[in-house]
Amino acid sequence: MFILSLVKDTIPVIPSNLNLEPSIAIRDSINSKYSNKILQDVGLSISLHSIIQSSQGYLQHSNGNVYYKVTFNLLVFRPFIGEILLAKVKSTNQHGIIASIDFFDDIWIPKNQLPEISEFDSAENTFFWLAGWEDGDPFTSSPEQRAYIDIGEQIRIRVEAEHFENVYPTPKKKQLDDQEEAVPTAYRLTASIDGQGLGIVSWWEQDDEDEQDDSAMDQ
Amino acid sequence: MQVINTRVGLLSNYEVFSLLKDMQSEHKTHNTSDNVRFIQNETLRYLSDPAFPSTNQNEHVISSLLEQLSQFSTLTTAEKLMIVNIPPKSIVELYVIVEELEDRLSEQDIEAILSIVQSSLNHRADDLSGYSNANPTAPNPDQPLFEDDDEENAKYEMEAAEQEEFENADVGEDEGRAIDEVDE
Repeated sequence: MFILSLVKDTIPVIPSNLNLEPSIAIRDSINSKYSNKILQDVGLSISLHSIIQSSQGYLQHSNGNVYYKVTFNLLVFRPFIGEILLAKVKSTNQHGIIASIDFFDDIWIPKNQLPEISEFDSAENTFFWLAGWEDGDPFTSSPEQRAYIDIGEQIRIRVEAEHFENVYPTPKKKQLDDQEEAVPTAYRLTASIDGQGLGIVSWWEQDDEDEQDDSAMDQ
Repeated sequence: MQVINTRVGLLSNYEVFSLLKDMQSEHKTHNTSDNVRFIQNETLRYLSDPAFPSTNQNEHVISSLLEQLSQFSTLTTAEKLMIVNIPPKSIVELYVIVEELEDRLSEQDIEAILSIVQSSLNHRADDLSGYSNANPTAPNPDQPLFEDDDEENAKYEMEAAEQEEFENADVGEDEGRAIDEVDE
């Protein structure tokens, strides 16, 4: 889920940091520029990993900063397609589930990526899963038969797709006008919980031994 | 800013955890911006979850686990990375990680993998102190445990192709099959 990306940039060190070791001052400057930022087609940058190379510092006539041309490795969050992640259910609506992994909240699980025979219970405001349901309308099931996907539960998800979008800042006035319109995020993931072992972690822990029997029988 | 190489290598959760942990301890004596602190604390919080072994893994447990897993030549780098990050404790958890598990591995292999993973989990619980010092062959901390090689890039491109397939859902059955075959 984490990768290293090689990046080259000109990094300013402000005069108040000139008493620090250059490597520390450069590191802080890189971190404050890149940490918690989404780089287009790279991913969510977390922090500096290592400095590969740096030029000597340059001064410019306009200000007191010292500029370094630095090549460095960034630590980036970018799960690959098909990767299995542990996440938590952040919220649900009738179209799907939003999952979160603490530092990244833009994971969308659409309704068609839920396990087969899942339905939205509008009274509970959550989805439920009916394993092996064959008696027609899912809503005729009793609450005991339904496996609810509650907010805050830990789920195992598989990354299905990633989307990068160029987001431009909108003028303040316009923002106020279209508050209804959802603001697109620069980096989103689409995930699935449809499949054996995916979904709420405890679903599979309880049935551990049954599962082992099942898969032994399959072979 | 210029991105020279988007993916130099993959990092395991443990490597990220230990890097951020080191940084965090430094921050107590050092002023940092809110953004930096936020993402580092949140990432650490996520990786400290009891579901992850990253809190009590170390380089040697991981490299010995990888060495033992190398006998199963059908496992890809990505799959091994996931085994290290979220160690499977049962068949169903391994089934999620390894695609087409039954076709690629025999029953004995599956059990062998599970017991290797289990013993590596126990190992780090037993004696961690013995590992922390005196390690002549300590892996270079700047070197990711999972090097990105050409094969890996090829796999990544393939995954990108798979994603395209996912996005235009009406791609025929045949094409999907062809991608699977390359995978094996």
